[in-house]
Formats: sequence, structure tokens, C-alpha cells
Amino acid sequence: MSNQKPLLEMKNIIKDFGGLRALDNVDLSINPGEVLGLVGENAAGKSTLIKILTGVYSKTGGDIIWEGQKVEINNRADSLNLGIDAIYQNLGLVETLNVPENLFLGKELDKKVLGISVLDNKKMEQESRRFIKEIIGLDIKNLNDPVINLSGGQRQSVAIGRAIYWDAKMVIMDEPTASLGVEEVFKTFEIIRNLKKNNTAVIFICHNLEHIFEVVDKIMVLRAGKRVGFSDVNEADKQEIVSLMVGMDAKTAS
Amino acid sequence: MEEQHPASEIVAKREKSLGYYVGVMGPFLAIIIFSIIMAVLAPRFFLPQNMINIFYSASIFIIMAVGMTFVITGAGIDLSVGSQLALSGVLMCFICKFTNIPPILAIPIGLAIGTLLGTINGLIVVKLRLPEFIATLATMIGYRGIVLILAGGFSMTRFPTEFIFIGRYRLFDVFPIAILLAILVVVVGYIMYRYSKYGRYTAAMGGDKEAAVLAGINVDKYKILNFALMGFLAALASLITIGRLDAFHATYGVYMEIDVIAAVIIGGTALYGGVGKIWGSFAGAVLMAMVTNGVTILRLPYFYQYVAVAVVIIISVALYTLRAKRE
Ligand SMILES: Nc1ncnc2c1ncn2[C@@H]1O[C@H](COP(=O)(O)OP(=O)(O)OP(=O)(O)O)[C@@H](O)[C@H]1O
Ligand SMILES: [Mg+2]
Repeated sequence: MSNQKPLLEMKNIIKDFGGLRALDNVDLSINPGEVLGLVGENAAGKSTLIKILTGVYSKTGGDIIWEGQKVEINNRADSLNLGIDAIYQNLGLVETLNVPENLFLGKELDKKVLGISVLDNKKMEQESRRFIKEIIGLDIKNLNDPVINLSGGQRQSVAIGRAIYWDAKMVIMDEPTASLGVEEVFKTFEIIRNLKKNNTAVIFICHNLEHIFEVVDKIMVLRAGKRVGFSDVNEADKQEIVSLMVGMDAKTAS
Repeated sequence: MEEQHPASEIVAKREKSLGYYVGVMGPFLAIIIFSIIMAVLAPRFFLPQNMINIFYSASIFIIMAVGMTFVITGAGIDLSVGSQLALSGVLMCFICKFTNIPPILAIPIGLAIGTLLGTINGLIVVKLRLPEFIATLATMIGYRGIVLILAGGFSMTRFPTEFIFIGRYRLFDVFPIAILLAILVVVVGYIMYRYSKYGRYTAAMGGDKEAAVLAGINVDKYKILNFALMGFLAALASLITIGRLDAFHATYGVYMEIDVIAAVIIGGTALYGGVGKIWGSFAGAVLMAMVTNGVTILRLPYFYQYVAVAVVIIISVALYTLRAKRE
């Protein structure tokens, strides 16, 4: 694993919001097919760090190296083009649109009619039906209902399915299990393992250490904008992680 | 712990209910019910001539309602539509009356002006970050002010035929082509809504702006396009308004935003965005025209129409809300 070339490296990332330094020289490294758990107390800077990757915020300083190349991520489109997908707490789905419309949002299939390109709704529906059933293993009968009518777990599957369908190289999940029932949480773990098998890297932000220890390969701890811990999950122990998060043992810093 | 519903069960629960059909057919149903009432009260309502009159006056609202459907579906609002109609109208009329520009050219110039007025709305909203309600309230007043400055003291009439034929010409001396134009706008609007990225992204940003941005959609661009289209269609409606009576008056389009927004909401478009119903807006506009016409036919003073329209709005929106709750 260690001789593998990292998919992503972030070096000395700084982010200031006015006078507030939300990220202070943060490093991060992740390999293809690796699951990285990102933990920390509220306001530690977790969301800020991943929003720099998704192009929602621009960094104040530092470098992003993607597949060995230095890159700039200035907006969401840059990030999508690199192959970075994200599943947010609200999953990033438009609840009033149906499954195919969400799956293909921003990347619609079209066809020519009389020389004019129009959306190929039928093809998108067939493709969604096939994909959702074969790859995600979900049997959603009425794909044409707005996704607000689906269960939380089904919605989650659609969101993650979108990342898989578009061959994301990395999927970022910011507290994806926060609003799910027990069964649905297990389903999420299963999907993360599938992504891993697919050689997709996953950054998994979560407040529940049980969940983190269940699926991640590596753990990174942020506290007040600084990276205070980074280790293999096998070498980490829960008690130690908790003290790093709350800052009772600052000496062990990275 | 939580019970797991297989997907099929969740769907079964939602098998097309009566409520679903009421939702889709609602405004058309309302037209039928209203027609039955009118059949009892005033059979004259159904004379072909009167039906044509209804659709003739509805055509102006139908065209505007299509534009407003996009605006509202994108989680927006445009209060300035009546003023856009008047301002693009007065400028077209001035071209015909006071310049050497061929009157036929007043039409494309007027449509361009309407598009520009809408684009200005869009830029104010997107660039200056004003809430749409405030931005278009301001331009509603501002555009109207310019109309009154230009043509407040007089009305204009007897325009060249090339200019007014769209609003005035009747096939076989009976059937106004304005009605056909309005239906064409609805059909094209429907195709744009269902089969173009523009329509899809408008629905997406109205449903969840953040999710649309995350999908890489340039929401500012589509927001401006929505206002621009609204302005274009307001100018088109202006052509019909002027042509129908062969006249322009500075009060054209006053209070029109109320009727147009009402037509869209009656038609089933979600007030907070995300779900647009182009054909619903068509039906909503026709229903509004029928109610107005009904008041006239029944020889009630015209202000009764306000009360009637209010009743229609309350009943139809209440029905949607009840249906939404049950689901
Ligand atoms: N857009 C912003 N403007 C100003 N300050 C911000 C902004 N976004 C985040 N911050 C600040 O940056 C710090 C880090 O916030 P961030 O959302 O990254 O924390 P987090 O680790 O994700 O916390 P949580 O677990 O509560 O989600 C906080 O102090 C927050 O107030
Ligand atoms: Mg957060």
C-alpha cells in the first residue's frame, strides 16, 4: 500500500475566513481505493477542508496535487472534471426531480431531432433503471417519482450511485450516516466497500467513531484547523483518537 | 428498530391516487366545472363568438404565463411583467409613430427591448444580489415611470397594419391568429421545459439551488435567462395587446402580474419552485379569462371579477395543499 502513488495530496493547506484561520497548514494524502476517515469536534474545519476539494471554497494557501500533478480547483466543474464527487448531508440530490433526472443532472444524455439537440429522457430512464438494479441492487419501481418520495436509504443509494455511474475517482461523504436508520447505515458501509473494490477513494466525515472504525483504512484528526493525528486504523485506538479530538494530549500531534 | 420497507411497497403506497389526477387535471377540471355553472346561468357563454373572445383575451395571459412558469419554477418571481409589457409596447409604438424605421421592424426591435428589460431584472438579481421580490418591485415601478414619462398624457391609435397584424389579423375574418401564436408559445415552452437543459436546470435550481450548483450547473446564467425569456414574452404579449384594440395606453399591464402569477399557481406550478406545469399555466390563464368573461356576461359590475378571481385562487391553491399533505 505504501509504495502506491497517492491519488490526492494536499500540502500546507490554509484557509482564512476574514480573521479566522479555519485551516492551518493541513496535509492530507489518500491512495486510490483507500477509505480515509476525517474526524474532529464541531468547527474543527472538516467541512471546510473538503469544500476546498469540491471547489465550493478557494484555499488561502497550499498546494493540491492530483495524480502527481499540481492542480487548481476554482469551482465545482473543475472538481467534477478531475473525478471528485461528493455526497453531502442533504445528499446533493434535487428532491423535486426524479431518479433519472438526478442521476444525469449536469451530464444529461441528448439526441438530435431535426438537427436540434434535445434531452433523451427515455434513454436516461432506461439507463437509470438498468444501473440502479444491476449495480446498486435496488429495485425502485417508479423511477419517475420525485426522489423526495424515496426512503432515506434509497436516496442515499441514488446519490452514491451517481458517483459510481460517473466513475468518480474519489467520493467525499460529509456525515452521510447522520440521518439514517441502523439498516441504512449498514447499507452505506456496504456501498463504501463497493466503492473501495472499484478502486475509488473515499473520504468519510463522521462524528460517530463506531462508524468510522467500521469502514475506514486511515484516520485523520483535525482540531481547531490543525491536523493533530493521522494513522492507520489498525494502529489507532478509540480512546486515543478521542483525546486527540478534544485536545487532552496535544503532544502526540502528527 | 426501524422497519424496512421494500422499495416496491413504498411505490405501491403511492399508486396513482385520485389526488394525483386532481393535481394533474385540476385546472382543466376547474374549467369544466366553471363551464357547467355558466351553462346554467348564462347559455350565451357558449356562443362560438364568445368562446373566441375568451381565448383571444386569454392569449395575452397565456404567453406571459409561460414565461412566468419558468421564472417561478426556478424559485423566482417577476412582479414587473406588466410594466415590461407597457414599456416595450410604448417604444414599439414610438418607432411606428415618430421614426422612419419601417413599422415591420418595430416588432423585432420591440422583442429585443423586452428581452433587454428582462435581462436587466436578471442582472439586478444576480449581480447586485437583490431579492427578486424587491428587484422586480423596483423595476415594476421604474419601468412604469418611464412609460408615463413618455406617453402619460395621451393614447396612440391607428398603427400601420404591418405592425399590428399579429394582434389583429383573423383567419377567415373569424379566428384571431393571436390564439394560434399563444398555443405555439405553450407548445414550444413545454418542449423547452421537458426536453432542454434550460428547462431541466431551471427545475433543478428551483428545487434545490445548492444541489444544482454541486452538479456543476451555472445557476446565475439560468436565472438571467429566465428573466430574459419573461421580458421577451412580455413584449410578444404587448404586440397582441396593442394590435387587438389598435391602441396603446400608458396603463396597459397595470395589475397584470397578479393575473399572470395567479394563472401559473392555479395551473399547479409549485410556488416555491422546482416543479413547473406549462400546460397547467395555459389552463390557468384560460380559466382566469373565463371568470372575467363570465362576470361580464352575467352583467355584473367589473369589480366582481376581482372577488371571483380571488375565490378561484384560494380554492385551487387549497386543493394542492390538501393533496400535498395527504401524500
Ligand atoms: N463560509 C464561512 N464563513 C466564515 N466562517 C466559516 C465559513 N465556513 C466555515 N467557517 C468557520 O470555519 C470553522 C470550521 O468550520 P467547518 O464547517 O469546517 O467545521 P466542521 O469540522 O465541519 O464542523 P461540524 O462538525 O460542526 O460540521 C468554523 O469556525 C466555522 O465557523
Ligand atoms: Mg461539517
